[in-house]
Amino acid sequence: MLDRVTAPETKATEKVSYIEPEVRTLSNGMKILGFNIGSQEVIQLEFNFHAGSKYQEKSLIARYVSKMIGEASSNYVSGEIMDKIDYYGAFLQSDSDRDMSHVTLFTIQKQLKHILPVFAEALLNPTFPERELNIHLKNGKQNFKVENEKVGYRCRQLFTELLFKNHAYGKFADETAYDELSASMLIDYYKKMYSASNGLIVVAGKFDDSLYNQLEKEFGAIPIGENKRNAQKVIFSKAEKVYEEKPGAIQSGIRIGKVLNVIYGSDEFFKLQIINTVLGGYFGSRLMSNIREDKGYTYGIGSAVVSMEDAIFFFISAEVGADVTNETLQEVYFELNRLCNDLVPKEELVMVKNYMLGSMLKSSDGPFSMADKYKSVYFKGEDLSFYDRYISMINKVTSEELITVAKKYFNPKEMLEVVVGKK
Amino acid sequence: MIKFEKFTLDNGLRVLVHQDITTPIVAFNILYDVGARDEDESRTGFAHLFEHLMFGGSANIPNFDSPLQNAGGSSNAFTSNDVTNYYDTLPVQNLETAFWLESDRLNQLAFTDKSLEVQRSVVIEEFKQNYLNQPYGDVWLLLRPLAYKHHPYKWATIGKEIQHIEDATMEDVKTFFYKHYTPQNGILCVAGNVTVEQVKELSQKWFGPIKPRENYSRELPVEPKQTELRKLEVERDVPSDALYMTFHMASRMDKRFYLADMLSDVLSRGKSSRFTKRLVLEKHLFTELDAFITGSSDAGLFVVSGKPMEGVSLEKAYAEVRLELEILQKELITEYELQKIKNKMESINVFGEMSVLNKAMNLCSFELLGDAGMINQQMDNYVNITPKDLQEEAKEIFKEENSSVLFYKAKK
Repeated sequence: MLDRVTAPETKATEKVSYIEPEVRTLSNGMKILGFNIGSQEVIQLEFNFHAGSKYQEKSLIARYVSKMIGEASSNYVSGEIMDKIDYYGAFLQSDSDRDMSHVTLFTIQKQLKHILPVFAEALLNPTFPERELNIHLKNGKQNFKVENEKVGYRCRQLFTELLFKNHAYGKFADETAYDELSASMLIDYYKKMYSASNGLIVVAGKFDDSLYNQLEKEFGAIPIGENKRNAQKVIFSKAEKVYEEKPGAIQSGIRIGKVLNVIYGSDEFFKLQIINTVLGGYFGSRLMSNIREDKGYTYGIGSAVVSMEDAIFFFISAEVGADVTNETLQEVYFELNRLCNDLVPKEELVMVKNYMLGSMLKSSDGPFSMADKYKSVYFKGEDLSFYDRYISMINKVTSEELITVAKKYFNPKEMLEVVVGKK
Repeated sequence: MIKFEKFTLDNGLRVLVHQDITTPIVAFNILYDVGARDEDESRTGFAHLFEHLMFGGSANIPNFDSPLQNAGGSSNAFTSNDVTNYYDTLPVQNLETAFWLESDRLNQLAFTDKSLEVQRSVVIEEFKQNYLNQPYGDVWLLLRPLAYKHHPYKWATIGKEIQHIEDATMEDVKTFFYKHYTPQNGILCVAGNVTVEQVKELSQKWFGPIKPRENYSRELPVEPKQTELRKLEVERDVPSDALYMTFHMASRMDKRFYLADMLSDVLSRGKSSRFTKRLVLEKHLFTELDAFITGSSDAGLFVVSGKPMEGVSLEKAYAEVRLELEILQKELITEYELQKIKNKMESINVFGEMSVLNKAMNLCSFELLGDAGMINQQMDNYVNITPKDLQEEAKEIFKEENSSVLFYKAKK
């Protein structure tokens, strides 16, 4: 008779292979990290610039510069670039976060030679036509109005504003910002920020060495420019409770968190990642188990430690039934207190460790993921030894060490709490 | 080309194996041939609620997720109108944990009152979060019953109304389980650095002892041909108007399915597509405008959804979309445009082969449709399509009497 009660034996993940990229430099000094490790005939070519929203003088500039890349260029009228990108089955993706702007091309290998010159033209000679910009801005404004109606969105925005009161991270566009942007602002920003010295090329997938020559040919002409990267000190937020009522809401958005004064890649940093996983970092976490799987107050609740260039912060977020908003808050604080007062039981800690190692294995699987993992530490001044230290910390950390760190950083009294909806 | 092997256990469970030696991760995907279309009209939302209950513990294992997490894995699932699909990814050395967990919940669920009570509230919160407390969230709750009058596609996977979920009893749960969760109704795919022998042995060990249950044969009402334009207008507290149109199209296994799929690409795949290029960027009548197909097993829907620019009336927006559809009926698309769509499909196909989980899911879906081998013939269905074929299909699908239109108005 088959024993269905006893779990099959398992083996913890001992090693995750992280791969060093090939490093090349274009004649203009622009650095290339190459991850030639794919088994599929695909390529991801990403241009990263220190040109995120924290550098802009007016809201939305960084976002619309990256968004308008591919719209039109000196040699192609509006729509022509996108038509060619579509024709060769490629994808152009651009976005901009607080720290960086990215423009990425995804293509299958056999189309690379056709699409590379088009992509280069889009990136090197964009024209930001006023008419198209206005269309994008009008669309963006309407979209903003829709998003702003969602309690989850509104809550995140308000939380971030309060968390980073005196830092560019806390600035958001309001409706009027969409009326105040002009093409010349985008051109200035583009010229200043999209330069070889201010950027990094990351290429991943399956390719041969001739790709580097092609990159030199197409992108060697990116102006040298200067490195604009700079850190702006974050003034730590103060604990407060903010409630914004939204009449008629049947759910409330909740966000609770704080800025963490911890050094990226330090022992305490890794311990915080582990504690966060216990609390709200995976499906079996305490927040999910208690608030969703035991009480049924929400479809989902989670927490994260987010690392940006100028700050590391922690937050818990959920959308919960309006009628159980207060009960949820109470349970969240109960869990934070428990984390600071009681040792994490051994069995739970073992599960969290195994889970974390398994997900590290998963999140570095494949060339694109590997490139992402490398990039995320590279821009914060770390190298792959970051992951060795991380894994070794997961393996050796004890519940006693974790509670010390929890007490230091997760004191419920120091948290900012934002609720949007109905209590 | 995705290579795979297939075998069937004595109890009817079909098993597919795809070997990919390049990854340390293994994907374990199990699809059950049950979806919202199999629900009773007075108890909708059940297939999806059931998906939640499947994580509430089984006869011998009190909690599904803990042992999986202990093995370094994670899991999730989704329910559609056609199927319920469960998937686990984990480090390959711990593959057996997935076999143990998944076979036990197919063998017998725990059926605890606590799990039912909690998951009822979780699903109700999901209903609120995604369908009620979001601008435009209720669109599919309105569109489905407008487009379908008989076929069970007339309700959404989440259910017709919250009440149905509130009313679910333990007896309903048990009946549903034994009726639909049977080895014969399941398709398993294991993809990763595994051998066929290894998967055979594990399947036999864990799933082999499960007895087959009564066969369920699906007899669904066929949606009669729609003969006149249907219109619905609603007013909601949203920032701007929205337009939705649906057209009946062919079922998944019909050759005409691929024509409709391609037409949706001509209209809205990529920024150079007709809708985006002409109606969003050139004429600036919409802030966004999409065309897509529901892709369902039984006859599905071709859908157009868009938000008109401020100051553009829904009537005007509707007329402009009709105009674009009529161009497809009157004029042949160019060879260039056709080639563009085919190239894009080829790319999407190649990118889709990058993850073992994606491959495992697709293999199971094709096996459900009749043969997992179809995964490698998908491109062939598109290669020979001509502009003339597309024009003929456009004439059929885009007949006004084949459509339902929803004017979703912003309360002023």
